[in-house]
Amino acid sequence: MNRFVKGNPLLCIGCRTCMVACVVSHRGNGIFTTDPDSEDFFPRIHVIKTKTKTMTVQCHHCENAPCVTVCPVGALEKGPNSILLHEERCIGCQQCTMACPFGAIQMKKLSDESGVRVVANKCDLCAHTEEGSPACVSHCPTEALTYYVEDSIADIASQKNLQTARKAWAAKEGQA
Amino acid sequence: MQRNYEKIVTVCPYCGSGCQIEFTVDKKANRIIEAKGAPGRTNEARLCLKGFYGWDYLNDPQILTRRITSPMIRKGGKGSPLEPVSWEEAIEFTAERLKAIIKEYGPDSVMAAGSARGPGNEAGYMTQKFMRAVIGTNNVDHCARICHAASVAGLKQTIGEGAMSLSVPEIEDAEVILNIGYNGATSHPIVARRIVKAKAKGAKIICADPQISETARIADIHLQQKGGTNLLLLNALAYTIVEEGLVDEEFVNNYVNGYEEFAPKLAGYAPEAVAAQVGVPAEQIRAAARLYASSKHSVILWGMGITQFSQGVDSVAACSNLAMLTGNYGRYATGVGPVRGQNNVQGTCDMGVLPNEYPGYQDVTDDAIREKFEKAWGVKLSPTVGLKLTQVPEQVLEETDPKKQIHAYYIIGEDPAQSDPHLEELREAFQKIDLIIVQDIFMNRTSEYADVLLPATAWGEHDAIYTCCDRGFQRVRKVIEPPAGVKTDWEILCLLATAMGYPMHYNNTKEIWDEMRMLAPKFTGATYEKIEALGSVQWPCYDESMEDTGTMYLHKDGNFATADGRGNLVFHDYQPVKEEVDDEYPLSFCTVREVGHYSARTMTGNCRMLRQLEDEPGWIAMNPKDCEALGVEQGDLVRVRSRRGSLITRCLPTERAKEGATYMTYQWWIGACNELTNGVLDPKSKTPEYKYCACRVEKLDNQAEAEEYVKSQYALIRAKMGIEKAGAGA
Repeated sequence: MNRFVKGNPLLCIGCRTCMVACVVSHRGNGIFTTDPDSEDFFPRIHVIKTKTKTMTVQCHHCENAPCVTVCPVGALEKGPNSILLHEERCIGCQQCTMACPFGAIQMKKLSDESGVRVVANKCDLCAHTEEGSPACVSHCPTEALTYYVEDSIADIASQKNLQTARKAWAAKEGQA
Repeated sequence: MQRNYEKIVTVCPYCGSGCQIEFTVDKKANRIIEAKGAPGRTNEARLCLKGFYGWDYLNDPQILTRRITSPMIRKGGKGSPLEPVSWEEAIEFTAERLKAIIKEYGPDSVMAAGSARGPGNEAGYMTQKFMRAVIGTNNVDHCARICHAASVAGLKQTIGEGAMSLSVPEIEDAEVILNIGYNGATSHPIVARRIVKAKAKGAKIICADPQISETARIADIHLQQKGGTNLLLLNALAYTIVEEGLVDEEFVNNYVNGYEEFAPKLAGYAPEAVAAQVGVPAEQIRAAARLYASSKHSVILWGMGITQFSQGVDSVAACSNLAMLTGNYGRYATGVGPVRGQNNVQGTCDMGVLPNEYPGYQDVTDDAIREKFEKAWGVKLSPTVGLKLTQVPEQVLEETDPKKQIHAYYIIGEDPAQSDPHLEELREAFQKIDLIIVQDIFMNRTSEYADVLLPATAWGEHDAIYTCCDRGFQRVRKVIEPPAGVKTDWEILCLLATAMGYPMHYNNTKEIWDEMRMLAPKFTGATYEKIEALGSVQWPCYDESMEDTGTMYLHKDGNFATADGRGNLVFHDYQPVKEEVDDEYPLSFCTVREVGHYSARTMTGNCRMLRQLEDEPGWIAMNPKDCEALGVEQGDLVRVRSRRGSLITRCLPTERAKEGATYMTYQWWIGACNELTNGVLDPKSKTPEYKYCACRVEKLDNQAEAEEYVKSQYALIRAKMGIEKAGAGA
């Protein structure tokens, strides 16, 4: 089963620490040694505010991911426990952006040896970073973000099962 | 590639939360590699974006402004360029000019603004000692004047102590939080963390705020009041508590003065009578009062939304009244929290960088106290209360007797030309002051007016102690070596004092701290060793022995810090704001905070990641209906105008703003809010009414031209700050 990051709108204070942590995590600490105007800023997580809600939006690593289905070149692929994006294959057609029901995929400018290209940009769970797990989660000041892995989701389900059973029993016994 | 890396724990230089940070430092390269949260008392290893990424300015990336690394003076007088000179020349020049001004006009013609930011408590102590013992005046103040001075004054009247009565960790164990005029999510994310944790633990939240803040959004009751109606609302809450029999009579009888006189005065403040003016239904006000009074673990948190009004002091007293009426003082997880904004604004008050008090909140007018300081410092001291920071423009522009004017202004680590209200008037005053000494780390808006620039070490380059918002002393450690050519603030003060004929010498900050402790009984027990051992010591801490670990919450068992030990209920009638909206200026204008930037932004604006989130010319947040009426959309450049000035910024439609209300963050140069703000002051604290004035927003038809203007203005100001390449931004 896929892993993913999810935010809790009750705990989110909209500070956007996650967005910066995301950029620094993928770029590395070298970002603090270069010409300030030479660096791009393309977070893979976004803080969204409406009248009464504040929450983050990022890739859910869906089991039946529409982005994988629509990608014409196989740049998006279902991996062992996440949706992988192969930037080198991406042709920047933006089909994935349109297919994603969350708006979790946006385009970014990528500068490499072959020049500047536009490619898809989305959460990779910081798989290839030094930290190896999502930086947004470890950097959130209010612990509003959680990294869900198979075990934790299974735990949630079994706890809810238990709660359901307890409630049913209490009702039968006339206990509140 | 593990090199010569070292771990150093210190305290964050932004906001009053007092977060401890562990830095990994490459000693050989003299660079910070990364920041991690350390398990501090207030932050529990959590940090916000400023803590994680706000150290980058130490790399001097020259994004916004340039680090000053040599003293500079205007050799040819005003109008001539600032020229780099040796320290000897700069100190001699400054000392001679100061001496001449004192000789001609007397010591009270000199004013100083101390720093509530990087320098720390030892530098704060030295600032006031320099002004009092060397110059001979009590004209010393700092930016608390423009933020929480009203809290200090209002609480002193009612409970005798102008600080948070509870500590940050206690907030999460409150049962009811009354959050008024406080947006922790933008000003103190790590305090906001305790608010959302309290909510998760089951606390009820009442939020009084004209806008839908992050706290309002999760509140059980959101009193979305009209701006400038705090005292109406607070008196209506008190009225309800009295009328509905919710007063804690035992607490009031045992520990509080003035109930008999206080209660009848509330007569005009029935929720039903004021609801229309406040803009909140009467039943909602009553429900809030009942909820607040329902617990003995009710906490009131406030910020600038209470203090930055012309009736700030009275509103603070009204908050304190509610806590006294309901017996919500003197126990764990109860009380009041005026949450101090800057990292060391509590400390700068503690150190007596105030015109009326020596270190430790001891009055300059008290003969016995003054004699104690005279004996310690070996000089006669002035018994007259000094000038307040916000009185400077008036004292320069309106005072006709030259002997009473301000002729020299020594500004340490502050940027009044950005942060003070009604900037046009301030600039006019600055042009008339004979000698302006700016001691800072970066060029800033104020340095344009400086006759002398003295380069100081920054946070990260020196040792110190800061006091965080809940009275917690914490050790601040040198992380990297400072650039060549700069000196610590306290060393510069020693050099100046010595040059002026009052020799001062200290080997380190501990020697300064020890001198201060011996003169301020409330802090005597907080030794460097104890702070080191415990990580944080909250004052009061009287005894040096390790048994006295400081004070988590104040006023234990109803023992207030007043002369007779009892709290005082103080009633004040509501007065409207000083500039109401009208046909010409139909929108209200309120200054607020940007979470990723701090104060006048010379530090955060020079951090790569923080400026990526927000940059010039900022935003004006306004209701979508108001935007629609003007025909402006998100991102459009607009001109905002008040009776005092105008600026250009971008339109940000948001339903979080009420119709008719606008909000701007105050650190931008082009979108400089303080061109618009009203300089009217609270008569008691002299705090400006930053939170309310009238404005109008004008659509700019030629957007391309406006974009070009913003870009060129930004380049122009950056060039003035010593940045040669005016590249990205805007």
